[in-house]
Amino acid sequence: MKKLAQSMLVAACVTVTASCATTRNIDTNSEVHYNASYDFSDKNKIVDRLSASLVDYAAQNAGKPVVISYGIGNETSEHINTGGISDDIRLELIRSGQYQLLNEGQRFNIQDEADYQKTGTVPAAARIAQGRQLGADYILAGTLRSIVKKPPASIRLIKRKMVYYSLNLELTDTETGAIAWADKVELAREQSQPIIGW
Amino acid sequence: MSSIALAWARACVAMLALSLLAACSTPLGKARLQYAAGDAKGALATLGDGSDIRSRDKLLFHLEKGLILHETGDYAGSNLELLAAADSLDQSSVISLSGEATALLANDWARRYPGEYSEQLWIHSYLMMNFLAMGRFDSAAVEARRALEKIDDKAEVLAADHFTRNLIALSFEAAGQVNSAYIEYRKLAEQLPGASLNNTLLRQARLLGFADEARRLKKAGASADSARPPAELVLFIGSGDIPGKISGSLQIDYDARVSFPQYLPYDSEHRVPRILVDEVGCQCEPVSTTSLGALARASLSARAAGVTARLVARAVAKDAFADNIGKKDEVAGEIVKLLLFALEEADTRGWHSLPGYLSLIRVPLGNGATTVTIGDPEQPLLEIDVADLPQGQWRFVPIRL
Repeated sequence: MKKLAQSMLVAACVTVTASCATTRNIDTNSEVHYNASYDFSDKNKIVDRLSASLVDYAAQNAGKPVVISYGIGNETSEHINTGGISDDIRLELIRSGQYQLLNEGQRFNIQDEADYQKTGTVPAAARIAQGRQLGADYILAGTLRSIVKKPPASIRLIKRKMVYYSLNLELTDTETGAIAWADKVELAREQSQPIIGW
Repeated sequence: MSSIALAWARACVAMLALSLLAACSTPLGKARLQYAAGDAKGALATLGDGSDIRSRDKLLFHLEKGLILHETGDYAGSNLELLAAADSLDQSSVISLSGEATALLANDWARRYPGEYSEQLWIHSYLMMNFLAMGRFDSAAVEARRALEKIDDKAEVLAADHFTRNLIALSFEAAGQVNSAYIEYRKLAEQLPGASLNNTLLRQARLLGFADEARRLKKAGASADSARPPAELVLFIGSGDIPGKISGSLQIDYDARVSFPQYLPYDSEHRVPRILVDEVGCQCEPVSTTSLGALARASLSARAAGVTARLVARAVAKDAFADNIGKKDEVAGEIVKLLLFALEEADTRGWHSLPGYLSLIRVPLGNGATTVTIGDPEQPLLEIDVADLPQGQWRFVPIRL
């Protein structure tokens, strides 16, 4: 009777614990993967490696090149917001102090603002001096690709999947069209998942 | 009657009652009737957020809601549902022991609906259409790659979906991924009769610098002037309705039968609307058409072995179960046999709101084109304003007839 009561108590505790929802903070620099898909840990790794490589390149050359980012194309099988990668690389380059970055996304707003200031609402001396924008020395652009591999069909209890990601980034000289710098980051991960569940 | 036999008989009656109720009175069933009657808003209201839908039918909820939202022009809302459907499919790849055990004594309605192979592919077809209509070409290309994975998994059935192959090629082309587009157009050209894709292939072969291929295509009749028209309207036309699934039955003894799903053998009429560009008739033929009914039947046939194996296992399990009860109480055994007989029902679930056919039509627009009229000019189905379409641009418009 005592054993039965103990067993029931353990079962009740397990049920209560299992049904409790919990939340916890995760260090954004830590590596956390729930499955083989792209996640924030991958983004951080890509941004860290490529921005460090770009900063090294600028340090080896004189001057502070003006760069415009044309984003990163997504050629994977997942809906990945590659804008997050290009924004973070841009941020790291600005923080390094080695590059000047043009804000392509604000061009139309700048034009609108200049047009507005010319309507007479802003004193002439305080208006934006036009024709003084910087010209880009380089275009920064890249492509994220993935290859997904699954083992051939067979009788098994575990489903496996291997995902390989590569991000190629290039700095193209706007005057000559030559690729002045290029680098890539590769990531590969295997996921296994049970085929049978309750 | 022994108490154990009585309890099992009660459980069987309950399962039978639930099974009969399930088919006709669910929000899913009601929403389908509303949609079929032309009340898309009512159908969406009935579906709501899906909290009333059983977890084993969640995939169907996302499919029906996603397609109805697509038909109403809410492409962003449709994407949310269809992406949830794709996620739900990934989860349903895990075999549920509880679902399988219930299905072994009742019927396949107790299992999580896995979707026919063709339905799994069409999730990505509709996502591609949505993303193209929204001008999100990179996302359409992502769906194109996911669709290719599905086709590669079940090529023997799904390679015949010319419409989806055309969408895949178009998504790659719109995203500027010319090499991938060229590969898919070439596969499509090999499947389609005639030389309707030769000009498209020649244009891309030139872009990619494939000189030999360009020469071969010119010899095969491709026009030397294969440049894209100044602008282009691409229509995705859905017509008719996909045939429904019915329950077939095979009597194997006076008190035992097996039931299996099958699609109705007839298809709705394939229609292509009249198209006029600035009131002038356009000789625009569909580049590709897929009969969804034919592909759905082929998909069901492809998984016939699995369905049959489950039918046999269920027949054996039901017989053994009723015999076991019959040994303790003969009357109870007979009652349980009768109830299990009545419980035998084929799983006829499916994506009901799909059209019978999907066709893709490319309408070239000359400089200064302003309006494209779809249907009879006296009573047009749709008038599309293309005056603001910049040079070299596309517009993608899904239409349901």
